[in-house]
Amino acid sequence: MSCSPFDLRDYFLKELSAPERQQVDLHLKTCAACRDEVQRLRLTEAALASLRDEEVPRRLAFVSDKIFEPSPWQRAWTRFWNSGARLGFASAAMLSIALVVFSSNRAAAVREREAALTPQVQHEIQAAVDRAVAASEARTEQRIARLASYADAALDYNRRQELLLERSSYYGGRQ
Amino acid sequence: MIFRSVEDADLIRQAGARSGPGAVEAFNLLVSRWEKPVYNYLLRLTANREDALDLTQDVFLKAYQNLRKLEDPSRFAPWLYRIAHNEAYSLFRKRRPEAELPPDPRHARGRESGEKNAESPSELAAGAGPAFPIELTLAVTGALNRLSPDQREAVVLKFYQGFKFEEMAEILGCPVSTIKSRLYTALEILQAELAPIQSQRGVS
Repeated sequence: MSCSPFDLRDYFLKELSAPERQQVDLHLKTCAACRDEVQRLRLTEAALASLRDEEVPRRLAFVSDKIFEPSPWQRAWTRFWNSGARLGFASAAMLSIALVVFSSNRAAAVREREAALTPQVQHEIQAAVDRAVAASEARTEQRIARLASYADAALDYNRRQELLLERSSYYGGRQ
Repeated sequence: MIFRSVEDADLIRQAGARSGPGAVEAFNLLVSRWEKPVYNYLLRLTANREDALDLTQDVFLKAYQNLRKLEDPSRFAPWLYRIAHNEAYSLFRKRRPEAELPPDPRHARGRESGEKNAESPSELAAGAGPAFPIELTLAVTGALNRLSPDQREAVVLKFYQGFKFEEMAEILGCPVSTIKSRLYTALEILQAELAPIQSQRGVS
């Protein structure tokens, strides 16, 4: 096909070493047939170049995207975290969580305070009850004592009346 | 090209060194550099945009997972394309287990070249890069479809992706001699197919 020292196609495709290439260059200067052959290759290459590369129709997922993430959970998290709209939702969610946590903390604090207060209160109540019982007992004793003294006084009086009656009857009988 | 490959190697070392934000950044950069060529390679293999896109995604996922197995960072491109080649062929096997060959893309190609035609006039009007006449684009598409899948892949890797024979051998897992014979047979077919169009149009 060719009288070139090396394959012209290899030459054209730049697959020859530098010395081989030089030899072909020299040969081409003197050989019209080989020059035509190289020209035909050039035309074919130009024709092939008429098919242009296309742009990638969609953005490929990068390493930072979901498909490269190790777990679905992390995937979801990344997507969730990276989306601006959902960031607002996230802050709302965080706010509500904060509210819940705070309120539960408060409830706990109240319960704690109640728990701390209860023994004291119970002690006070116990003391008040004790005092009330003691006062009531004292009053009852006083009343009993008073009643006893009344009873004594009444008895005294009765006895004295009887004595007076006896004495009068005695004196009356004798008269 | 040389400084670019050095940079890639640096990125690969960084991406493969350890997991972390730096590694992720480095790999993201590699993806942004290579997604278009890999996508176009797979597009010419599969002749289907959806398949090409899905495969491209899988390729970068696999590459990320196996980056530490890449011994020589300077061999990143062939290594990446080997993953792409294997992914494409495993898809072909899944689709057509008896044939073990890529489907004949003629039909899909026809549809695609139709779309390309629609795009071409606007490209001409916009003057974005060298514009090619519709008939040449069509002829090239048709000529590529005449090739066997193996021949077409060799043409794509050499002419559209600019790989060396030695790198193509790595990607396809076969000797350089096989690749050369596939490519040169393909070139003969392409030249025969395209010569009439070119002489007709007077391309020179």
